[in-house]
Amino acid sequence: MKLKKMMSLILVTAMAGSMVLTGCGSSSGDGAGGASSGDSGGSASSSSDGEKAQGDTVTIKWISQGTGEDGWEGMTRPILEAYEEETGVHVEAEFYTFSDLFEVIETKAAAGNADFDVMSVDVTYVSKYGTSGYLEPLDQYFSDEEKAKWDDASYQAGVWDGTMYGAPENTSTQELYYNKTLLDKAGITIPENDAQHRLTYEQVAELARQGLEKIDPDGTQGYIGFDFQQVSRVYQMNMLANAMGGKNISDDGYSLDGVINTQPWIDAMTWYQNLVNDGIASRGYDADQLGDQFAAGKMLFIVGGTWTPANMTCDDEVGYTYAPCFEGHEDQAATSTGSWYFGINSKSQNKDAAADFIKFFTLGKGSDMWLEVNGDVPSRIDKQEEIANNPDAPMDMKIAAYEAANTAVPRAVTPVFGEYSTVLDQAWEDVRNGADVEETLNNAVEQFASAVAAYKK
Amino acid sequence: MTLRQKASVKKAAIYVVLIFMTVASIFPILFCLSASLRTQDDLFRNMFPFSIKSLIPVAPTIQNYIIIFTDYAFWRPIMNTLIVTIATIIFGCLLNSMAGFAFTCFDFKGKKVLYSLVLISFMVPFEAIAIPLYSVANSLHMVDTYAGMIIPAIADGLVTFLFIQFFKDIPPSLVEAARVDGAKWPVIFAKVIMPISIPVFVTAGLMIFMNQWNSYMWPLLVARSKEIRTIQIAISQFSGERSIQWTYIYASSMISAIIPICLFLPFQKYFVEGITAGSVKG
Amino acid sequence: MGGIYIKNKWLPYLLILPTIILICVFKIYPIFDSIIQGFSSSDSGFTLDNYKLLFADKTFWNSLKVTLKFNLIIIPVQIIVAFIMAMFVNVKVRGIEIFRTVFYLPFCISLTISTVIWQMMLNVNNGVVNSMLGVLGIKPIGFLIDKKWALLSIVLISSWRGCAYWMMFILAGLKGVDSAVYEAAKIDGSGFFNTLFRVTIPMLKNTLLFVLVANTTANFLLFAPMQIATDGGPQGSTNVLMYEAYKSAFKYSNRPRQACLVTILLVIVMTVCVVQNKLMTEKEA
Repeated sequence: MKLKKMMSLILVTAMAGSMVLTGCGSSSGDGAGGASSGDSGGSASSSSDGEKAQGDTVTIKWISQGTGEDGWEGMTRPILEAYEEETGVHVEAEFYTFSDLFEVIETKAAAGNADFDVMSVDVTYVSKYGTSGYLEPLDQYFSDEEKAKWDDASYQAGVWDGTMYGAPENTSTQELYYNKTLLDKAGITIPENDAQHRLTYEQVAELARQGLEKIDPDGTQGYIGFDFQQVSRVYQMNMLANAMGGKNISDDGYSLDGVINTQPWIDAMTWYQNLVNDGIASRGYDADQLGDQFAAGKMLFIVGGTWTPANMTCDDEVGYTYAPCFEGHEDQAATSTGSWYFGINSKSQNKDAAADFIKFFTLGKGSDMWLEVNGDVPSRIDKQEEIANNPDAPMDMKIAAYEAANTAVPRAVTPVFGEYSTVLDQAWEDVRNGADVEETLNNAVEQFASAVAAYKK
Repeated sequence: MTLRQKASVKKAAIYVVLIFMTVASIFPILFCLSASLRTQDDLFRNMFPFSIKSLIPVAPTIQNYIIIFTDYAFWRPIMNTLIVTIATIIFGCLLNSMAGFAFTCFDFKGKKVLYSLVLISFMVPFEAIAIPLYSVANSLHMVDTYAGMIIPAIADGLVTFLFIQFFKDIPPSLVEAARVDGAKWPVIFAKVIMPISIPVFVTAGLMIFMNQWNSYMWPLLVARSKEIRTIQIAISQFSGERSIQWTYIYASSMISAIIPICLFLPFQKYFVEGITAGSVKG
Repeated sequence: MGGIYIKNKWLPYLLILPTIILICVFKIYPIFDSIIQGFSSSDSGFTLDNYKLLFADKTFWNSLKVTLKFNLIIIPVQIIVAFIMAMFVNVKVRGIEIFRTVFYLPFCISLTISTVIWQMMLNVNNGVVNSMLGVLGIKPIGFLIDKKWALLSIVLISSWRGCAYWMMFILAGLKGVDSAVYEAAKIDGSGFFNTLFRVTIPMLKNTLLFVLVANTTANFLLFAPMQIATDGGPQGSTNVLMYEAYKSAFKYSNRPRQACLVTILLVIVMTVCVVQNKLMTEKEA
């Protein structure tokens, strides 16, 4: 009896299962096909080309990062709708998390996939994807006049070896933010400062030390004095070396020898290591967690992006000012910069439509809408000037626009940024945890050299 | 010490060890549970330095759970994952056990080669084959379908290997007896092998379940539309470039942990019965 | 049943066919595609350059060392702990079902989340573990940022979840051992360890071989905890080969390098498994 029941149960479930499988498989296939008029494979895409000839709606597909309603997914929806209204072209957008986007692009592109047309590319990967053949050159789509509308640093970061691969969506910069509530409690006031007379890193460290002494004298409350939002990531940490006059990478983009095993880098890393050893900067938190410490009111000073105040989770008041410089290097103030770029999939069947959409989003009405909602620093010169000249523009945006135009140091432009950031992120983290600075830098030079050996002809 | 005293000391010692292991097993889970009942501010304010407040929320709230179900429609990925998981278990158990049965019971040409293929198939990580596998799925038009998540996961070398190893323990006399009685092979498989192998089937089912339930990278690549998105992808959506909704992540992780527990509790008794215990009885 | 090998012309092929087809399409083909990549030059000719480059890279050798060290520790630890856990929940005392359920729980938490939780618990800034050590007068230990501790911490994080999983298989095997065998051993006056090594383990031979092979594979291919908790650091001390392979493919878009690393890993795993198989079957003889 028991056996019979078992067998019939298995049989029924197997049948039900196969129905679910085939039924759902086909229905969702229909759904996808209907929604995007062919997003799977080259044949389908070329059929949508055919549709275009017949005057039907064109669909282009954009893969990007920033999931969720408060992320790009929600923020860009009105822009995509506006674009469809204006041109009749439907943009189907797929959003991934920041780290997943790299895997997705790599897999799809390496598989020679034509199922997307536009991709968002982190500034650091523009040259990599360009040299790997994933990105279509954009020079034929953008006139010199159009290119001149972006500030030069932003435009150049989308160019590798004389070819333009990416169009800047916006840029980013770093400012010094502080927890006013905590500093008031400690009786500390921030000295007067401006773009020409910046606070120095040494000064900020001293203020942080005094503050910690007041609010957490025995160091048991878990307060952090002064830290960096994207700790142990080259995006932000390199600005310390830059502020000492150090460069990011050799001019050919393939070497660190003579670049990071130099005095500016040794001084910057030693200064940072001492900051950690003195208990002012933290250990043990990664870049995903450190910003949250400031947001929760457990940190006095942080060098962070313009989104920092908006991310506060506690009620403490936040103040901000220009990024610090180093004593004796007052004329070398440096800030990190760069953000996201748009590129065209070299396998796309809809390149013209893709380019048109990119223009809309980086120069046209879409760009206006985007800068409004995103609140980051524009790459467009006219918009930067608008902020500088508008007396009502918020001060932190004015600072940001100033830094982007004057102190921004582009990130290492190299087709081997993956290797570069792996080696240097690790170097910053090791120094933070007490590794010998010079030895770490020398190792990094050597590691990077063998990592890029494969690319040198 | 009398024999009875000895026995009770031994029992007490067993309980001490069991309780120690219990603490080690659930302490991190309690951490996760407690974090899921906080606001993000509360979480970071009280996590360090460790105190009683790190374990017990200052002002417990179930807001995180409400939000993930209302604003983020978390039930949808749960249903999707259940569909994918259950379909994979049914086909996976059936096909892999058939293959396992053939490898254990029969002698045939090319057995060694096929056997090594099965073994090799699970010795390479998914991440290593993602790119060519994606090409395959793409050319079979499996991208963005349930089938794309289910079919590649059905045949699993490790599951086949599990069946082989456990079928080896079935006493040959049982099979011989059935053959002497003139039973056909499908009947032997269904009526002799399967019933006494329920614990193996449950184990294999659990294995497949956990693989699919926690699988991340493949669904990320082949199941993009919201309609068929799976649970781990849904959880990952809470981490943005600039800020991470930790409390939502903990709440959704608790949900994603509770479902397998509830589903597998009823099957526990099969472990207790054991494999050959059934054969002796039946 | 291990002993019966029956000849039948078509039935075994029919039984195996669906599985083999699926495995070939979705596993074996991609694997061979990867292996070939490792031997391909940029113009698709045969070359050993990719391997030469890899062998000239210090990072690779460090990674290989870390991988072997990691597995030399974690495989025995997981199997022994899982075995002990299985033995305990196999004891007949009151409430054992509850303990058994509780011991499964860690496996229900995904690896990503359990790594994040442990990362907080092991935090150097007064995380819970360091707070407890503080009570005993021990200074905070940088579990994940000190190169002396990082690899061991990863072993701990992975095993917390892993042991629960492997316990399940061993328990399923233990339940298969006829209790009459234990009774017989007891009557013979056999002690605990004698029974364990003379009776239990030999009876569990097939189960243990499965657990050994599956565990070896799983741990050699493990990299998520390193990716999340240490990013391969400090000073490369947790940078296992698989993480190097992952980075090669998805961070460096250097597929030939990834292919070489994966091929080397495959060879190592196969070798280890063959040796395990030999050892287990020798015991039988």
